[in-house]
Amino acid sequence: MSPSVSDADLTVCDREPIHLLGGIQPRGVLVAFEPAGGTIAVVSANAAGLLGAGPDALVGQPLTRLLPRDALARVEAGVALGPVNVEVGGRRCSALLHESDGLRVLELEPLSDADEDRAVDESALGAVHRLVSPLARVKGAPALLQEAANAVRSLIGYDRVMVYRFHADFHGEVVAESVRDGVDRFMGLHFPASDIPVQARALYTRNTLRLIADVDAEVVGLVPATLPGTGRPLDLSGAALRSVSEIHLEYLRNMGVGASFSVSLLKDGRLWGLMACHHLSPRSVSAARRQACEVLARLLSLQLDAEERGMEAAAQARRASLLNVLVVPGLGERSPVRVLEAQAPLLMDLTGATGVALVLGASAGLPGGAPLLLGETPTEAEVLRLVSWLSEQALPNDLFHVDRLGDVYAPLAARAEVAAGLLAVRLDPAVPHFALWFRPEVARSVTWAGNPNKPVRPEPGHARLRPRASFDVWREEVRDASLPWSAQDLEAARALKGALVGVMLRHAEEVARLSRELARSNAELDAFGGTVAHDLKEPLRGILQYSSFLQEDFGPTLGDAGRSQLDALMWLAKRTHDLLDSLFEYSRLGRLELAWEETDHQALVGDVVRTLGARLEEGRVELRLPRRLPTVACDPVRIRQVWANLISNAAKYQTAEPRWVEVGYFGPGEARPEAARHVTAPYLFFVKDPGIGIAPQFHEAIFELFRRLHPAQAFGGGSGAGLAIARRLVALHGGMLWVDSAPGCGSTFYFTLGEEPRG
Amino acid sequence: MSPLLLVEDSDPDAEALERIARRMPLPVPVVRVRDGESALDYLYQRGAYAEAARPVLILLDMHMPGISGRDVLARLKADPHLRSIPVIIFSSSLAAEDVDGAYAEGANSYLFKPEVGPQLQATAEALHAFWFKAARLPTAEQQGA
Repeated sequence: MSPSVSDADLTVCDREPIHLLGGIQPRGVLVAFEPAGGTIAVVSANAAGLLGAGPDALVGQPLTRLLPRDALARVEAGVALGPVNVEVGGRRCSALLHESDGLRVLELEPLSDADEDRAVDESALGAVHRLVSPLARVKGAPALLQEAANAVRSLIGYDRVMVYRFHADFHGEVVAESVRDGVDRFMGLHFPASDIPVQARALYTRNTLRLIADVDAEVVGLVPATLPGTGRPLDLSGAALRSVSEIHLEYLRNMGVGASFSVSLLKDGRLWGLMACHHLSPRSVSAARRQACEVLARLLSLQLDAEERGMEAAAQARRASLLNVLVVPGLGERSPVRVLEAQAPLLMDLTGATGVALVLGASAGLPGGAPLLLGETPTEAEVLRLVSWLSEQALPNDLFHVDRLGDVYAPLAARAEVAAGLLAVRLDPAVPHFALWFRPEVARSVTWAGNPNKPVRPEPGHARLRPRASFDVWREEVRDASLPWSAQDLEAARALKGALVGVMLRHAEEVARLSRELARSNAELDAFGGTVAHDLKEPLRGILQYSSFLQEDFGPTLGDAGRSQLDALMWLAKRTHDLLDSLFEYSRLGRLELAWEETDHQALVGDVVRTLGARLEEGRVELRLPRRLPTVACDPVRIRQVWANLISNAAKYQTAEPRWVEVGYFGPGEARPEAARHVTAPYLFFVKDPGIGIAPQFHEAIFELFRRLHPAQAFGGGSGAGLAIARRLVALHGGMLWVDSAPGCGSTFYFTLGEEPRG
Repeated sequence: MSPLLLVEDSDPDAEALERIARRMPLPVPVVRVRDGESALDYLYQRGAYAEAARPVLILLDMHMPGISGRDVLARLKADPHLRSIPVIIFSSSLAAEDVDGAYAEGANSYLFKPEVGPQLQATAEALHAFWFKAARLPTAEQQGA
């Protein structure tokens, strides 16, 4: 019955001096002696069983009493390559030798008949062979790890062999596993870093093999318990027989493990993983087999290193190819958005993200400068809000990365399933254009290969000391955190920035070329439009003229029916004439040169309202101006026309009392309505009415030339060109004009103005 | 009697003006030609217009097939004998380039050809009030040498 472990014990885990526990496991004997004279200084308390003499009889004696000088010489010569077999007290043992605290430490483990070296060599050689075969290389890292786990299990005959890998934050993950049928699997489990405390990781780096042949074995003390020179127990960091922490034993017992063996996996002198082996009953592993496992582990590390370098090279190549795709000439035929959309998998691959958002402004090819969203990302609105927050942050090197976005940016704290991690690169210092990569919370990407629903037998001991409990602890620790962004991820983001800026620039050149062509065809169209308008108006003027002559000359004799027919004729001619006027005006917009100036929109709207005054009064429409309109640069003549069109429309399309039109704006930094969430312009103007409203399917149609939603005579008629002209005038200013409305709920027309082109 | 020369390709427009002129009445007769070519023939007394009287005022439509109003204007203003005759452009175009272009060619004023109906009446009355009442017209002398 082992003592149970408390929470307090768990917290001191990190401080426990596990190399100075002053005890060994009973499967062997430890003898430490002076290097110079060979005098025995320390002997393990179980010496008598193997050596025929107890510690009291041995301490202070020369080592030659135990081991002939030539045998010691063989051990000293061969131990660098592995355990050396010697005869001690009539028993064959494997001997290990290392130095500690200025003493030479000899560890002797009796060999059983089962420890057939040749068999070991063969199975080990076979495993090594498989491990370095080209086939394993081709299959990639997972296959390699699996092969290693199988090889180790065949060497030591344990029930379970896991390859356990440390992540950057030192939490561990089971990445490969070989088990005997019917044994629990832990594949895919993650464990918190605290499961293997700091000093244990340090020890595992120095001493790569650990065998606990029997978790219930009594710890064997050392004689003397403390060294006279140091006043503390002999340092057993390098000893194969070192007894382990009681907490660790408890953990193993809770797992139902009877024996444990682990081999450190090192890369460039750093601990990157472990081969952790469990047997459900006690089982020893001979020094020779342990040695073979260590060789395997080294080979595996080398192979994986090569594998990783290969993958890194492949990733670099993929990144390079993406950048190439983006910078090849001739993309001009497609908008950047289309090009990037087609490369979505690569874009995500670039930084190992699960979602990408590109906020490139209006020129990228999405309406209203909407962001391009690929993969798993927050919503468009969330992305735009995030971007406006990001654009206010100081970003060193234009980069921003975080693996717990919710900690620094509360609005997405609840969206860890898509955006626990954010890597952002700012593409343009002047405008808030960004590339954003998102990663989900890491716990969500974790799988469990075993059966997580399998009821866990209530075991004695602390609940925390069980793999699944550990897994839960780890899951709690990493809640809302994504995998961290690596230096390579940041590098890739920076590289993409360059390419994207290039793409946008080239696209801008392409757009300029297209607009030159467009301007040419527009000029032709204008000339055509002008001619057509004039030539078509001519006969209509004629119809109107003759009708008016008729009225003047024969009105009284025509009779009522004749007069009303003549009226109808004149109304139609007049209307067609006005349509042509609108068409002509619309066609001329293409040639318009804007005369920009700082414009007081309060004065502009005041002027419009004075002009419309009679019409507003007549319709009993109240004009509401809740606050003074700002001064914003534009061509006042043209924007006056826009205001006039919007205000007269708003006044016109109302039936119910009270009738009103509200004119207002949203300034920089002010919260904006949902319908204007995609707007980045500093000022957003609006004209609002409580009128008949417009069904969503017509929200774009109303801006088409001559598109009418109502009979020509209804609502005071109109040519149907007003909104088309207004939208074109706003577009000429680099702004947008759109409507938010629903039938019976009134309408709000929003518009923005761009900036005067420089140069 | 020196007439007002109306250069207008549109029959209804010409007719409307003539009706208004009759009703006012205008102190001078209105002579109408249909196009730029006829206008030049008239002014240079060519062909059918050998006996034509020099007009005191020319009302010139800008937008005509063939020789445009602007060409006629340029020819008149380049001719030392004819350039003293005031030329009033009568056009349905409000485009700045048309207005400015007409004055640049030497037009004496530019009237917008308004919508049919009372507007046209008002324009004709304004024309009458200014050119035939307020303004002094050049004396009809020095016929082409």
